[in-house]
Amino acid sequence: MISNKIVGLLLIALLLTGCISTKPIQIDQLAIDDVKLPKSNCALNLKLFDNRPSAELGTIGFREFQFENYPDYLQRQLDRRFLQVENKAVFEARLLRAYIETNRTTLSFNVVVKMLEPGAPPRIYRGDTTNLNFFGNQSELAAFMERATIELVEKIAIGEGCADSAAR
Amino acid sequence: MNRLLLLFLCAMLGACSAPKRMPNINLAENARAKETVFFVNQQEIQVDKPDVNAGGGLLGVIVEAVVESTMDKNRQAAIVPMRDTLLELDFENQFRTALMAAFPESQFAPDQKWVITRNPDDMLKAHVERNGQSFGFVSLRYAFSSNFDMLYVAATMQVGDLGLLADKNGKAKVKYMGKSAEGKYQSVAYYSVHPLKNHGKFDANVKLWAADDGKLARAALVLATEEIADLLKRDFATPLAYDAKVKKQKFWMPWIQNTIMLKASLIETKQQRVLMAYGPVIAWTQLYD
Repeated sequence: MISNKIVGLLLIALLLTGCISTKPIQIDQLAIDDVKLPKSNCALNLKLFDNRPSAELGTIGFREFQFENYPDYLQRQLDRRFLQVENKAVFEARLLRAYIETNRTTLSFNVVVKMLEPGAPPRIYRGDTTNLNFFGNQSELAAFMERATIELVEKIAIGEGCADSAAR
Repeated sequence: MNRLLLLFLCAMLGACSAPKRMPNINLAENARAKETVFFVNQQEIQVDKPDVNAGGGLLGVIVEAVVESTMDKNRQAAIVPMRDTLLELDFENQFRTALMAAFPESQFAPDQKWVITRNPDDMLKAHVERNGQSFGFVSLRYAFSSNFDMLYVAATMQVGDLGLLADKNGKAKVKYMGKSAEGKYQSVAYYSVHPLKNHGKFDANVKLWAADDGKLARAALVLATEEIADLLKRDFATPLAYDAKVKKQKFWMPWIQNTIMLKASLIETKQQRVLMAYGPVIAWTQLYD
C-alpha cells in the first residue's frame, strides 16, 4: 500500500519533469511478421468487419500503442490460414476488440472476433497473451500482437472445424 | 501542481481525488461547461494488478517480478469468460448517459458535448485546447479487485477552468492558479463498490461473477451507475462532506489498485449499503466484516 503510493508519486514527479513520456509508441509494419501457420485445405471464406468501439489499440503505461490498420493485418492472417473458395458462403467476422493492456510487470494483448453465420448462433473467439516485457522495443511489443493473433486464428480454426486439415 | 497531480492520480492510477472540496457555485449561463472531456483508459472490464511485497534488494525485486507476472497471467486468464459475457454491454455509453442526466444545471450547459479520450496524451491535449474555458472532466474505471472479491466503478468528476498550458514543445504543463482562481473548479471522486458475498479464491470468485450470463456483475454495474449518477446530483446540490465529528468505521475500498480498509465518516445506510466520505472521496460500499 505504502509502496504503491510512493511509486505513484514518483511517477507523477517523473512525468512533470519530462522523464515520463506520453508520446505514442508507433509499431512499424516491418516489426511484425505474418503468422507462420500452415495453409488449411479447409474452405473458410471470412470477411472481417471492424466493429470496435474504438480504433485505438490501448496504452503501454502512459503511452498510446499504435499500429496502422490492425484489421488489415488480421484479415491477411485469416486469408493466409484458410482456403478461400469461390461460390461458397462468406462468413461475417466482426472484430470487436483489439488492445494492449499494461499490468504490473507484464503486458497483455487481447483480440476478439465474433463469427456470424446465417441460421447459426454467433460464435466468439478471443486471442489473448500475457507476458513479461523486458526491453519494450518494437519487435518485442509487436510480438504481443502476433501471439494473440496466432491464438485467435487457431481458435477460429478449431471452432470452425478447420484445425487438422493443412495443405501447402 | 495539485491539479496535474490530481489528474494523474485519479485518471491513471484509478485511485483518488483532489486534496480538498470546493464549494459549489452557480455559474452564469454563458460560463457553464459546454463540453466534458471523458477519459477511459480501458476497453473491457479490468482486474486490478496484484501487488506482491517480496522485501528489499535485488532478490526481492526478482521474486516480485516473477510472482507478479504469474499472478497477472492467472488473472488475465480468469477474467476472459467475464469479458466475453460483457462484450456487448456498452457500459461506457450507459454510464455517460446516466451521468449526463445528472449533470447540475448550475455548472453545465444543457447541450453538453462529450470529448472521448482513451490515452493520456489525448487527454492532456484536450485540457490544453480548452484552456481558459469552463469544461467538465470525467475519468472512469470499472474493474474487479485483484482477488475478484469486489467489483467497483470509480469516477472522478471535475468542472471549471481545468485547462493546461503547452510548453515550447507542445507538451502539457500545469498553469499557476492563484487562490482566487482555485475556487473556480470542483473536484470529487465517486465510488460504488460491490463486495462479493461468500468469496473464496480468485478463480472461484470470478466464476460467481460470470455465472448465469454475468448476472451478478451486470447487476453491480447497473447499481453502480445509478449510485454514482445519484451521488453526482446530490453532491453538487449540497456537498457530501467528510465530518470529523462522526465516529469512524471500517469500509471496503479499492485503493490505488489494491484492497484496503479505510476509516471514514458514515453518511447514511441503505439496504446493507453504506455511504461514506473520506476527504473528497464519496463512496457507496459495504461495512468491513
